[in-house]
Amino acid sequence: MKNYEDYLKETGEVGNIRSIVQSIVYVSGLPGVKPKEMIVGEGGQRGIVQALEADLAEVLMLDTHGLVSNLPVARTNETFTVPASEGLLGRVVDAFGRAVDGRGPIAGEKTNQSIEPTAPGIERRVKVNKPLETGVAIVDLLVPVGYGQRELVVGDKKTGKTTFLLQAIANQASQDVICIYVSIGKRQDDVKTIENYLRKKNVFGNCILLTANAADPVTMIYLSPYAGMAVAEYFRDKGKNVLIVLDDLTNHAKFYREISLLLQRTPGRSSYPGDIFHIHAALLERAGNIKISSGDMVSISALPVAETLEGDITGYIQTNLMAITDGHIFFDIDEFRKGVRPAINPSLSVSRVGNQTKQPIDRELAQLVREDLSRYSRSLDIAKFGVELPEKTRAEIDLGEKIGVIFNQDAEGIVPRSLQLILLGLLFSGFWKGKNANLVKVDIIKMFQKYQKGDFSQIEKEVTRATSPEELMKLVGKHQSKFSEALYV
Amino acid sequence: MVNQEGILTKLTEGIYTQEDLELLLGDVEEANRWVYKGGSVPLSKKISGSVSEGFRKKIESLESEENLPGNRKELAALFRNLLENLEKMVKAKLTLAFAPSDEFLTKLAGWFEAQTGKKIVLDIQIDESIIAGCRLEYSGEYRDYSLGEKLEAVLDQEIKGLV
Repeated sequence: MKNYEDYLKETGEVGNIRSIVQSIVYVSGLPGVKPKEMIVGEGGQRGIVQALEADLAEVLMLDTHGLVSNLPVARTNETFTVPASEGLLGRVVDAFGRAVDGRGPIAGEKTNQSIEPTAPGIERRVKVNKPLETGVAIVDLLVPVGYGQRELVVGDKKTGKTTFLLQAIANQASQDVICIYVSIGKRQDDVKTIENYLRKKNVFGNCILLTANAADPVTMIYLSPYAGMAVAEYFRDKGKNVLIVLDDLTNHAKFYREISLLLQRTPGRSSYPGDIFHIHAALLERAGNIKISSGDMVSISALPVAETLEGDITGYIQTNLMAITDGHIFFDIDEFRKGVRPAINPSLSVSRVGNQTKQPIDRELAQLVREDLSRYSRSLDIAKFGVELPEKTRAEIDLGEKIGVIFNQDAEGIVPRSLQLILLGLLFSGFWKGKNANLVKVDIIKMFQKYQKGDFSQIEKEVTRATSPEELMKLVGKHQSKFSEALYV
Repeated sequence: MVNQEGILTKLTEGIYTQEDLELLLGDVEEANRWVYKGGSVPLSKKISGSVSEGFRKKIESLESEENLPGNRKELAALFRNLLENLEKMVKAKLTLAFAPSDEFLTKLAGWFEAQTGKKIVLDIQIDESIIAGCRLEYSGEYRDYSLGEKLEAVLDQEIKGLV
C-alpha cells in the first residue's frame, strides 16, 4: 500500500493543513487537487476533498489521529476506494474494508472499488421481475419485495425493524444471495447482536457486516453506506445477487447535517443541507436490476431504514426516502403496543414494484386478505359499542383474528412461501372454523415444527403449483385429514 | 506619507530563511508593544535591548529618514500591517544534505528571487539521506532533485532486472 512519500513523489504536489474543525480540515497548496480526490497526510491520515475554495481545499478527514496545523499533505490523484474481495464474506469490517472482528486481516486479492461511481444508466437496467422472499409472511403477501427493488423500512425505535431485516437477510443468505448489513452510527453491542443472530442462523458466510460505530469519526460514518454499496457493486459485477441493508439513513442524514454545518453550508429545512435529498438519491440509485457484461441479470436490492418519532412518517428525511424508494414497510408503534409481531401496518405500507413480481395466485390471495383485514378493522370499530354483534360481524372478527395469528411471527421463525400458501389455504377452506384464535395459534406452532421436519413436503410441492385461491383451497381441502392427523393425533 | 512597501522591503533586507523571518516577526511584535510605552522617546531608543541590534538600526534609520509615522496610533497600525504582510510572505521548503553557509544562502535566495520575481523565504531542512541535490516544495509543487532519489530509482531498476 502506498504511503505519503510515494504519493508525494507520484503527484509532485504538497499542501499544508491551515485549520482544523473537528474532522474537517482546510488545506492550502495542492494546486491541481480535484473534488472527491483522496489526500493523505504525513502521518498516513486519509481525507476526501469535499469542496474547493480560492486558496483552500475543504477536506473530510477519515482518520483524525495526529492532525495538527501545518501538517503536510499530498495529493493522490485517486478517489477513495474500498478494497473488496470474497474474503469479506463472513467478516465484520469498517468503511475502509478493514476487519474489526478480531479475526485477523482480510486475506486474498482485493479489487479497489470506488465508493462513488456513476450509477448504471437506463440502458443497463432491467425491470424488477423476480420476488425476493423475506420469510416474513405479512411482507411477502401484502407488501411484496422484488430483486432489485429499493424498499424503505420505516418505523419507531424498538418496533422490530432490525428483527425483520435480519429475518430477510437470513432467508436470502440461505438462498446464496450476498447480504451486506451497513450499520450507520449504531452502538457496537447492537452490531454484535446482529452478528450473533446471523451466526446462529448459519448464514454469516454469505454476509458482510460493515460498521461505522457511533464512536468513529463522523466522516467515516457518513461514508459507510457508500462503502457498503461499493462492496455490493463488487459482488454484483461478479454476477451475484446482493441484498444491502442500510441501517439507518435518518442517522446518516444527521451525521451529514453535522458535517454540513461544520462546513458552514447554509442550513435548510430542519437544518439539513440543501443536497440531503441528492446524497440519498445518488446512493440508492446504484441499486437495481442490472444487466452485466456477461449478459446475465443481477440485482442489488436495497432495504434502507428510516426511524420515525412516535409514528410520524411525515418527517423531512422520511418523506425524502419514501420519494426515492420503490415503496415502504411501516412498522407501527401502535400495532407493536398491541402485541402484533412484526408490527407492520399493511394499510400504511406500499410496494410500488413488488406486486409485478408475484404470481396471480399471490396477488389474488393478497387481495382477499386485504379485504378481510379491512372488514375486520371495521367490525372491530362496531364491536367497541358493546352491542350484541350479528353473526356476520362475529365471523369477520374471527377471521381477522386468525389472519393476525398467521401473520404473527417471532424473530426466529422464517415462513417460506409454500407454508404461507398452506396456512392461508387451510384458513380460507374453513379448517379452523369454530376454533378460537388461541387454538389456531397452537396449531400453527405445531404445523411450523412439522413443516421444518419435512412432514408436508409432498403437499408443499402441490400447493406451489396452484394457480388460483380456489384451486389452493381445493388442494388443501383434499389433504385436510392429513393435517388433522399431523396436528391432533 | 508613509511608504509601507518601502518599510517592508527595508525590514526584510537580509531575511532569507524561516528562522530569520521568525526573529523579525518577534522584533516587530516587540516594537509594537513599545509604541504606547516609554513616553516621547524615539522608538529606536525605547526598544534598545529588547530587539536585535540589526532591527533597531533599521528602525533608527527609518526614523531619521522620517519614514515612520509620528502618530502612535498610526505607528501601531503600521506594525500590525507589517506583521500581517510578513506572515503572508511566500515560502519555499528546501531540503538539503548540508547546512548552507550564509554566502550560499544569499546566492540561493537571489536565484529564487530572480526565478519567481518575488522575495521568497526559505524553510531549510537538513536531511543527509538525500546525499546531494535538494528537495523543493514551493507553491504546492513538490520536486525531488536529490541524488538519493536517483540512486533509489537506479537500484529499483536493477532489482527489477534481476527478478
